[in-house]
Amino acid sequence: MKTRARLPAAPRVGRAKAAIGGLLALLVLALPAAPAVAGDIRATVRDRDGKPVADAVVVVVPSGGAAGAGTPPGVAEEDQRNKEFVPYVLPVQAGTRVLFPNNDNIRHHVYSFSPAKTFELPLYSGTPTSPVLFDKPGVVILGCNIHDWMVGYIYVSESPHFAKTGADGKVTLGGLPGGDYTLRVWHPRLEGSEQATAQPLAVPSTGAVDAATTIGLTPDFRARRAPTPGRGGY
Amino acid sequence: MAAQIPGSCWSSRPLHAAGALLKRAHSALPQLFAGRVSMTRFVAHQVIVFVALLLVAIQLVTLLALNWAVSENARESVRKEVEVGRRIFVRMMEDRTQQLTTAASVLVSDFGLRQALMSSDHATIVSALNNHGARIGAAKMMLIGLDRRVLGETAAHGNNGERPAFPFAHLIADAERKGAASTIALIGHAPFQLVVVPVLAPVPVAWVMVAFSVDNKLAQDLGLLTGLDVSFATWGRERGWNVAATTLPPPGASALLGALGPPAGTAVPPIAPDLLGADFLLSAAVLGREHEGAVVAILQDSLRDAIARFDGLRVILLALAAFSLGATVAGSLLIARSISRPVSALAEFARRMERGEYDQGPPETRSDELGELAASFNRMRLAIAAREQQIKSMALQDALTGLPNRALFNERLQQALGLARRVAQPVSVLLIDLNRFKEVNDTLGHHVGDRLLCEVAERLRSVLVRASDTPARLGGDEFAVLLPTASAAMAGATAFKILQAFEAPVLVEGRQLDVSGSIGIATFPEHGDDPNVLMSRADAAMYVAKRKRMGCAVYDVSFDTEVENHGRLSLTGELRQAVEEDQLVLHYQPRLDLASGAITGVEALVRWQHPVRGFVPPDQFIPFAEQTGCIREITQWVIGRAFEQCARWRADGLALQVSINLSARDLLGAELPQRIAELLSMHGASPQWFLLEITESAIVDDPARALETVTRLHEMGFGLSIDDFGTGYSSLAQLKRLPVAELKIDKSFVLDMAHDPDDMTIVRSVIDLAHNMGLSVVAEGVETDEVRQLLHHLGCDCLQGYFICRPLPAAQLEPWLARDAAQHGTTAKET
Repeated sequence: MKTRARLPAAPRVGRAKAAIGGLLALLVLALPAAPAVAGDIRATVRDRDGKPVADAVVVVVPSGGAAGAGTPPGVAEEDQRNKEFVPYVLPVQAGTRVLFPNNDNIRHHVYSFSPAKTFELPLYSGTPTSPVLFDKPGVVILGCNIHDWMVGYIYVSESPHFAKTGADGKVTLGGLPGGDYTLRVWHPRLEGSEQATAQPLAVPSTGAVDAATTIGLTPDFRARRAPTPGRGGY
Repeated sequence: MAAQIPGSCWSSRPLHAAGALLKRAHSALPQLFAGRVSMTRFVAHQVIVFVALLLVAIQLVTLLALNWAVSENARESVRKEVEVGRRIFVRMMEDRTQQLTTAASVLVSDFGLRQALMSSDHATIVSALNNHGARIGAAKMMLIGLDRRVLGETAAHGNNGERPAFPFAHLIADAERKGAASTIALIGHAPFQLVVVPVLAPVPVAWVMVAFSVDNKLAQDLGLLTGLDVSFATWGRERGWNVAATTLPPPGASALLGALGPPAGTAVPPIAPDLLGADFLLSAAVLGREHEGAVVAILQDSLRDAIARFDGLRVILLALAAFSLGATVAGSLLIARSISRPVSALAEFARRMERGEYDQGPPETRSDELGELAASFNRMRLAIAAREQQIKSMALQDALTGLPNRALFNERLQQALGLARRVAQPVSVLLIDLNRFKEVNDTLGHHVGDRLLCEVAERLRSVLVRASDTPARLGGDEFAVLLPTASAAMAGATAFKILQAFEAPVLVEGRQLDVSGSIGIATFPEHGDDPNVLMSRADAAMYVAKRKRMGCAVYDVSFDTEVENHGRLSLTGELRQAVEEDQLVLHYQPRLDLASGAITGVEALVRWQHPVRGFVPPDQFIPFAEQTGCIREITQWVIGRAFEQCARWRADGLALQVSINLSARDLLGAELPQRIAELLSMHGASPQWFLLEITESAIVDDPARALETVTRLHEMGFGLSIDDFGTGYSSLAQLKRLPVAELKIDKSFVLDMAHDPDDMTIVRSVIDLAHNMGLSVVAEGVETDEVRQLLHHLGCDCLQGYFICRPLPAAQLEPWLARDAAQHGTTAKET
């Protein structure tokens, strides 16, 4: 299933004529099963126009205390398919190791200059044997040194409670112990800082609470995709 | 656009040059022709000046037209060049921006650079900027964070930890919108082209500004491409204008800077197209305006240079004009001279002909029309010369005899006198008149007369052996001989030789003609030193010689009066008039018959009672009348009157025999007997009443004809008498043949016979001879009684003379006769 959608872009950078298109599989992050005494957060992210925002990461941090122990971080995968990072936005908990399997028949050179994780996977094909550890919370912007238009985001969360909105702008965080939380939203095209989106949220022990967040989006900015033989578009 | 054409400054140049050239030509041409100024030269001059002026005018018009076209063309082409150059410039700047942007983008895409820039190590960042900036020839590079603060820049020394704000924030904003941005701005005071591109990792994580120098190299590159002069001027509010880069040479740059003016105002002053004046067209574009300063591109093209591109053409045209002018003038000169020189030569030739110099032909022969003209001139010269020669010979030569004529004779005489005056030598002139030539002409015809004249001329030639002696025929039967260096005596000898040469008779058509002439001689200097005087004196001498039958005479002063008197009566017309108007009268001189002592006859003598001059003695007009032929009219008048008078006397009972003189010419006229017969019948006269006296010489001239006439008269019944006997050359044989009854002894013998024994002897002999031949004898010139007695004693029959009676008019004669009859008791009786 392939869906054509507007992709999130980095804030403040925009190139109007560069319409960025891509295929994005909408993934619902599979979270570990929550204990019975837990509440859910049904989060909705919309832009100022009221349109649902996909690929927005919703993070919930317990108020006042530590994030609390969750399930230990495992290994995530950020694929490169058809010269695109898949998924476009990959939220992971700090300490997660991410594999970058190359599903294209060409080589890629994945890098990141982001302060949260600077790394480089020089030209390779197939799946590198060792995954990359993302142990520092923050946003890691992924690029390919060969293909300028390839961009991907790994959101490294300090909290174990996070999820990514779907195409309807909604996501449900379940299994949270009841209590007060702070909810934040991040998006590649988020206007302003992530902290600015913080909002307190009381999560009941059982049941669900709705959280609606409206965020501003900067214009989409994606590098122009190089023409591919056999394909007329981008 | 500049409205004024800068061509005016040079358009006047050829005008001045041409004017000066003309002036020089004007002053030079007369010099060229000086010394030989003539009409033809002037024509040549005119031709040259006209041609030169025409050519100069044409060339001036051409140059002016070219000038106008050039300046128009140049202006238009410069305008187009500037316009095109401007478009090229704009396009080139766009391309350059694109190229620089691309170059910057590519540069910034470099992974290593990005790695370095993202390293957060300032020194690394600066080093990388330096390194990579050098790759694309950037003058400066700057790394700017997303927060628009400068993270690092080239040429930055050290890191003081501050992160200054990026001065061209709007470029970042521009680049955010468009992916990249560019402008031209001042950094410090120098202009740079700035390009801002994002550092993509892969989304923009920072900005890099790349600055490229706007320098002379750029200006030159653009200048080469646009074909214009390209200048980059910077303007600052405080510093004013500065020319940062230019293709102009230093003077042009300072001129531009000067034109841009001092710093003024708060904004960039506008730049007008005519900022640099009329000589330049200019286009300006503000390339960037930042803060307090601006960078302006100024494109300019020189109109003067554009016009100067035509300088070569103009130089060629001027050279062509000068060459064609020179060639035309030279050619005109050559042609004009080639025409005028032969024309002048022909004119000179014509002047020579005018002066009568025919010996030289036209100077040069050509094959063109002038040559034909010269040839015609030459033919004309030859024809004129020939005709003049003919005319001259006709004018100076006697056509009949071939002798020089009067004109030539006079000329030679003049020359001879001129020479004689210088060398003090004599010159003599002989004037020869033929005797009785008229008679020959009248009786024998002109052709005979002409032959006679030719013969005379021939004889003259034969006598004159000296080349300098010139015989001439002056007209009619009058000849002259010029004897240079001959004295009167020598001339006399020559005259004698001439007379001798005349002695032999001339044979014409079987007739023997006797030639005799009378020669007058006058000699320079004793008789005159003027040709006219000499000739008139020779003439006088000739007359005297003729009248006195002297053959020849040398002039003497005493001749003058005679000739003068004679000369005055020498008009035939006057004499004829005398006959017609009865100015003549007859006087009668009585003749005494010695035997009877009575007056038995009278001699009729003609007298001329001239209405003005009075009485003219016969010896002053009779010879002239004889010479001119007028004597025949006179003789007839005399005969008629004598007949009439005698008839009257006879009617009155006075039986006088009347003697009438006939001249030699009368005898030569065959019509005389007939005429006398008519007169006889008219007056009822009888021949027996008359004695016709003929001179001895009349018979000598043409004895045959004279004899014939005399014989006829005798047959008519006239008595005949030989007049002036003893002076002629008649032979006794002739005398014997003549039917005469009487001899008249010439008075030259009688006058002095009383004292001259020779005369006495002659008279006696003649009387004896006459008596022996049965003739009676009459003596003329009896002026004394002594002579009368002598003659009486000698047996002379009749006497005539002043002792008897002078000639008397008829009216006086009759009383005298009556007195004489009464005195002597005898008178003529009717027989």
